[in-house]
Amino acid sequence: MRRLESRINTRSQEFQTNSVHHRGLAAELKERQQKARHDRPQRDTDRLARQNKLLARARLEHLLDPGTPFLEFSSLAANMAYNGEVPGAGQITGIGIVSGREVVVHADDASVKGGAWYPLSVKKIVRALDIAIENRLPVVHLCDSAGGFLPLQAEFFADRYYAGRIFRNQSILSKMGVPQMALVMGHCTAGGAYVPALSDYNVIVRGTGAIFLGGPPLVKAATGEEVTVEDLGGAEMHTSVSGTADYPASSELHAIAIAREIVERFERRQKTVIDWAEPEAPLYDPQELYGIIPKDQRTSFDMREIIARIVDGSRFHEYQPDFGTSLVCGYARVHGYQVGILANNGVLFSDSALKGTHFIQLCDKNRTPLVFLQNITGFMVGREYERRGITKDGAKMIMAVSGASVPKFTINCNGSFGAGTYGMSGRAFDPRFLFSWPQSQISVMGAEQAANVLTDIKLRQLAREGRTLADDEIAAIREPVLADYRRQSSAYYATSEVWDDGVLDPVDTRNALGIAISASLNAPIESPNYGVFRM
Amino acid sequence: MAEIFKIDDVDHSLWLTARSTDGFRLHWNGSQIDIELLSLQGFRHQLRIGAETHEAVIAAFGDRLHIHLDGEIYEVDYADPVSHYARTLGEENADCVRAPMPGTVVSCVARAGDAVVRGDALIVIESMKLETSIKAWRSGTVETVHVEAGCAFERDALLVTLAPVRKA
Repeated sequence: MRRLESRINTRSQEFQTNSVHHRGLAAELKERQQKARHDRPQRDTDRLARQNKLLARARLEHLLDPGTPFLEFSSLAANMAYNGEVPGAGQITGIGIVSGREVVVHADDASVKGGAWYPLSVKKIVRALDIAIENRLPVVHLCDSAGGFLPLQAEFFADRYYAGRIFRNQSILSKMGVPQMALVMGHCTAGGAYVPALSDYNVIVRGTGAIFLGGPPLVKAATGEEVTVEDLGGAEMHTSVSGTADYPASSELHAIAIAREIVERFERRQKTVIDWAEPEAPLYDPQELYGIIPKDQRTSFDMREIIARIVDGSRFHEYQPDFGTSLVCGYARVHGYQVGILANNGVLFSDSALKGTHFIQLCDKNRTPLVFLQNITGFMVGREYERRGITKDGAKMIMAVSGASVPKFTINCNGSFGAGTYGMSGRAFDPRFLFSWPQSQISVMGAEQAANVLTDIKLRQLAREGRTLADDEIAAIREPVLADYRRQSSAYYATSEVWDDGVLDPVDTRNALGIAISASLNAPIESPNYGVFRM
Repeated sequence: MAEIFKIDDVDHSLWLTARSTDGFRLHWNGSQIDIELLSLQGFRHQLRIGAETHEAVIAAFGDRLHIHLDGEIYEVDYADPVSHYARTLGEENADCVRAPMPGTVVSCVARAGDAVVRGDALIVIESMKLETSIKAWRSGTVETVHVEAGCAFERDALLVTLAPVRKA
C-alpha cells in the first residue's frame, strides 16, 4: 500500500504556533487527569489507611498484569459536575489485561465520597458494562461503595439506563456466557450488593468487606434489630452461611491473588479473525499532529495529514480520490489490523455522503472495521442542495452507519456538529468506542449561530410586544448564552457527561485504537444487513 | 507486476521470492540471483550475491535507502507501483483551482505575478462556518486571482490561476 505524502512544512510559523498551542492543551489534559486520579482530601486517604485499605489505583496496579497497557475510560467523567467534587465520577473503568485475558475493569474509588454512586457514576458503570456486552469482554469488579448518593436519587434510580441497568447488564453478560469476577473490598450496600451476587465468582476481604441489602442503621430503623456489620454481612457469614460470597480473603492482596487465579480459569475464546499484517510505525512522527491541528478551531486542514500520523507506515489506499472530496475514505492499518477510514475534509455534500455510504458497505462486506475521524460542521444547506436531495443522501449515510455490522470507532478530532455527528457515527450510533481530542467541540450547531438564533427569537418576542433593545442590552442577552454554549460544547463538558469514552492526547490515538480494535474482536461480526436506503 | 527501484535515478524492475532456505531469489532482467542480507552491528550488513560476499552499510529513511558498498555510495528509492505509474500521468499540472463549495472570500494572500512555492496560501475562503486556505498545489507564478476579499462565489467558481508551466 502506498504511503501518504505529507505536505506539511514543519518549519513554518503556522506549524510552530499550532504546535505550542496543542502541546499546551495536551499538558493541561495530563494535569487534569493527574488531579482527577490522585488529588484527594487528606482525611479520605487517612481514613482508608486506618481501615487498612489500598487506594483504588493501587488495587488496580496489583490486579493487572505488570507491564501491560490499561486503556482507561472517561477518566474526567463529572469534571464539570457536582462542583468538581467527584473526580472521575468516583469510578475507575477501562480495559486491561488480567492473567493474560482482555477484561473490563470496574472499580469504585472509595477515596471519593466513600465511593458513593452519583448519577454520572451510574452512567459510567453502565457504559463500562455496555462495552463488556458489545465486545464480549469478561468483567472484574472491585467493590467498595457507600451506596447511591441519596440526595440525587431521582437522577440515577428509576429510568431505563439508571442503576437497575447495571444489574440488568450483569445478568445479560452472564446469559451471553461472558464471565464476571467481583472483589468485595468494602461495603456493597442495597443495589450494590447485587454486583458480587450477580458475578459468576466473588471473593470477600475479612474485616473490611461486607454485603447487605440494608446496613446496620437501616436494619435498626426498620425492625429495631441491632446487629454488627460483620454479623450482618461480613466475610465469615457470607462464605460459610449464606453462600452469597465464594472465597474469604485475609487481605486485599490475598483477594487479588485469588481473583487472578480465577480469571486464569476463564475460557480463552477464539477471536474474530480479520485481515492483519505485521504492524509498522507511522513514517511521519505522530508528535507532528500538534502542529497540524489549527489553533483556530474554524480553520480547515487536510485530514490525510492526520491519517498519515496514526496509521501503519503512513500507508493509505484512498477510495474514490476525486469524487465527493469533502469526505476522505480509504483503507489503512492500525497496529496491523486493516480498517476503513472515513475522515472529513469539509462539509458533507450529496456526493460525499453517497461515497461514504458506498464505502461503509464495502468495508462491511469485506469484514473491515470502520474508523471515523470527525471534523464536521454538518451537511451543506441551501435551496439547490435540498433540490438535489442532500437530506435523502444524508439519510443513506445514516442508514449505512447505523446498520454496519463491523465494529466502528469514532474520534472527534476537531469538531462534530449537527447532522454531521449522525453521519459520522456519533455516540447514538453505537461506535464500540468514542474518544475526543482536547480542542474538539460537539453541539447541535456552532456557538455563534446558536447564540444568534436564541437572541433573534428573544428580539422577535419583544418586537411583538412593541419593545426594542439597545445594543448593550442585546449583548447582555447574547453573551451569557454564548458563554454557556461554549462551555457545554467543549470536550471537557462532553467527557464530564460521559458522551465519550475519554479525552485523548492526539499522539495516543494510535495506541488507543489498537487496544480498542483488539478488544472488539472478542465479539463475532454479524453478516451485513441493512434497512431501506431512500434512493 | 514487478517492483520498481530507482537506483541513482535509474529505474530497475525487480522481484524477490523467498527461498526455502535463508535469503531470497532476485528476479532481474530475465536472470535469477540468490541473495541474502545478514545484519551485523548497527548499520553494518553482510550482503551475499550468488557466491560473492560484500560488506555494506545501509541506512533507511522510509522508502529511501542509503547504501555504502565497496567504496561507492548508492541511493535506492522504492517506488510503489501505483505512485510510479501515476507520476507518468502528469498529475498536479493543472493551472487553476476552483471553489470546493460555495462561500465568501476572507482574504487574498497572493497577488498576480507573485512567485509561490507548493503549500503557500493563495487565498482564504469561508463557507459553512469553516475557514479554508486555498494553497498552491504546485510551485509557480500566480497569473490571476479571480476573486477579491468579501466577494461571494458558487461551487466550482474559478479562484486562482497559476501561469502554465513552460515545457522544457
